[in-house]
Amino acid sequence: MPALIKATGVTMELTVTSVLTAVGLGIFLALARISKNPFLSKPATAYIFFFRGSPLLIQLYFVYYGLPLIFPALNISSKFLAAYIAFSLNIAAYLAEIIRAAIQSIDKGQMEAGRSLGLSYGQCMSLVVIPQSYRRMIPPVCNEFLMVLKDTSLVSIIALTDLTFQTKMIASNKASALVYIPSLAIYLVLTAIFTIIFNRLEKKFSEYE
Amino acid sequence: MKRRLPIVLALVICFTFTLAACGGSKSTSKVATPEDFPGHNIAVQTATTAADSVDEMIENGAKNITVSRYEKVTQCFDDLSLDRVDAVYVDSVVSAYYTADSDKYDRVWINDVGEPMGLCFAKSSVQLEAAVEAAVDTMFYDGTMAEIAIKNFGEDFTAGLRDVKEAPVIPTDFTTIQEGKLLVGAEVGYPPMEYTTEDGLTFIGFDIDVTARIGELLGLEVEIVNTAWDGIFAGLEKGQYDLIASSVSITPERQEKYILTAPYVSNALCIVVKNG
Repeated sequence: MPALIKATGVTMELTVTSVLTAVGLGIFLALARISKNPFLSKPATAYIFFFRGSPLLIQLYFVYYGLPLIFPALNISSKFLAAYIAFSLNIAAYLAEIIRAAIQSIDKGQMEAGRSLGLSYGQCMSLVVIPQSYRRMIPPVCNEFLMVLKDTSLVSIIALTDLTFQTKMIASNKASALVYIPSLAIYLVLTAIFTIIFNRLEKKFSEYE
Repeated sequence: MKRRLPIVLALVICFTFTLAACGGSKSTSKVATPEDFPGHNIAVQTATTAADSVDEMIENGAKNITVSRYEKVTQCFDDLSLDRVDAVYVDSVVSAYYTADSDKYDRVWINDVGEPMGLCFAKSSVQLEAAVEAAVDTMFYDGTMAEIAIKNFGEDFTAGLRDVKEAPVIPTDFTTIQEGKLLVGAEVGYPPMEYTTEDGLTFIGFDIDVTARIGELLGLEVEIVNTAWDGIFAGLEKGQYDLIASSVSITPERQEKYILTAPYVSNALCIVVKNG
């Protein structure tokens, strides 16, 4: 049981750090994607196409095993760091699309009104449009977050001991599949906690709607 | 919210990198015996006798051993070649494959106590086990076992395991899960015991050749069921295959739960490190 709790820490840490990083990266990608400048929108589209279009498992393998063979300088010895990079890059692609959809769902009139009051494009985005899109982002981001929480079980392939990997090890050691029950319970508790947090956030941001 | 978000993100990134920096644990001193494991990062495959052996050391009070557990033995060597682990703790039959043609790896230690391998059956397959045992005896008798060993290992790891003086009689009163077929469970991806050709299409290796010959002798068509090592014994219990031919070391715990044949290939735990 202490082993499971320790492994839960790895699962949580990886999920939270990579989602937070991906939110940052995703905002930039989304803004680049809707920008009229082709030098911004084309690379962003290509990035999203690549990371959404290929399996996370292979991206993880590639970051950990493939990259060091091509560029010896990119030999990431920490398994956690390799997983964090692969997850952040992958999730950012999904979040970029979520954020783009949320921004574009805000009525055009908001931007036009802002511009006619003399705000710049950047000011309009950061002060008017993006704050209004928060509420619309939260349900899909919550969805994505829970997906990531469960997808972290993929890291067992690079020998990072997360909750799923630890559970499997105990199960094969004891030759009893009963250990899957506490593991299921832990996942459910985690997802319940985050669902509540995201529900609170959604309420908070819907105050003015 | 707008101002706080970048700060939170920056903190998270800093935190992650600090954490990651602590995570890298490649040590400078070399591993020469299992007594040197403390303070080092040791690669093992999950649910193998090597993993059990390290776990036992940790339970008996060995401190500060970092164990990297992989699902495939090939990953242990991938990470050894990239300097991410200090040593691989593995079966000697596998180490022979990696140390044979290159001076990249060095076998620095081998256990005096051997862990020979046997074919593994469910408790209910008594008759089939007897027939396969006789078939293996036949292979020792007519020299095909030594041939297969030299073909796969370069030397005969089966020499001296069985002394068969008379041609064995193979019983015919056995049954298999599918009539006329011998379903063989194996974790393909464990060179040189069971792995695939470079194009990934054909299964090759010592166990594959041995079971093919057993199939010939028993008059059965052999089908390899590719299974993950972790869970291979559960598959046997569920009746997904007639036997496991996948480098199963003979241990008292396994003998208690399953029927294991007498040894057909010798093996011992050993330590492999990267040269230089």
